[in-house]
Amino acid sequence: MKKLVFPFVEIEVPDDFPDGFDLEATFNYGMEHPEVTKRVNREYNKAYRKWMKNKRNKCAQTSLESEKAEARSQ
Amino acid sequence: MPKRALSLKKQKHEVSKYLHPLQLQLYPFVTSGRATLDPLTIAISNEGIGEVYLPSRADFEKMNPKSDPTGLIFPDGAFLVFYEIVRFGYRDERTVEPTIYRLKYGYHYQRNADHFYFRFDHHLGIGEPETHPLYHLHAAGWLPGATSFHEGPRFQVDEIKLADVLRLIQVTYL
Repeated sequence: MKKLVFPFVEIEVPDDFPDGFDLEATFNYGMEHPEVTKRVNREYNKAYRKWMKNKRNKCAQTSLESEKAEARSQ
Repeated sequence: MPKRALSLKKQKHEVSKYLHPLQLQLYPFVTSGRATLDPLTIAISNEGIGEVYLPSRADFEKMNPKSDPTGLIFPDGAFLVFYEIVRFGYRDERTVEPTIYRLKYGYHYQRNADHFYFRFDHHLGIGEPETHPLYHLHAAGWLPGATSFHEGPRFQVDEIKLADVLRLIQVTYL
């Protein structure tokens, strides 16, 4: 099995999944293999939402900590 | 020749088969580190009409010079958003075989740092054909402080696909 490697998740795809920037081939593959397409998209969307949620939480935590530090220094 | 009737189930199936691979087509930009991608929003109505938005209809419709990058976002802050409204059936009276066809589309690429955008549009029945061709391209800049895009002129172009727009961005900007 090959893997699509994203910054926040790795998703397994069949060995005949097109490589690189052959966009037409990727689209045609997706049309011919709807079950693979739906699974890959589902896994991507789920991982993306989780990644965004963590990112937002981290941002909120950082700003809360800097607010506390600012209050302490006054 | 009489055309065979298409069941709603078949229409929905074909529309779904077409819409989902559009997201697949964007992954090479993400796996190669050339962009980040928000998930697409896909819906199919009870009448069998499919719509896809990157990232969402609300975001696409409120695009303006002050919009934050969204959709397919490139490292330089430029971004692509798009939509397609499609159906499966006979495109016109001459068509013998049913196929997927786009009722409307818009592919919008924006470079805030350069105050520039282009958008390939296809929609029916708006304005005069001479000034508002069925398939057209907006390509324009905006002045600092502008809150909306200058719409005209609309350059007449051929029908275009998502892959063509991606290739154009790739060879021009990446």
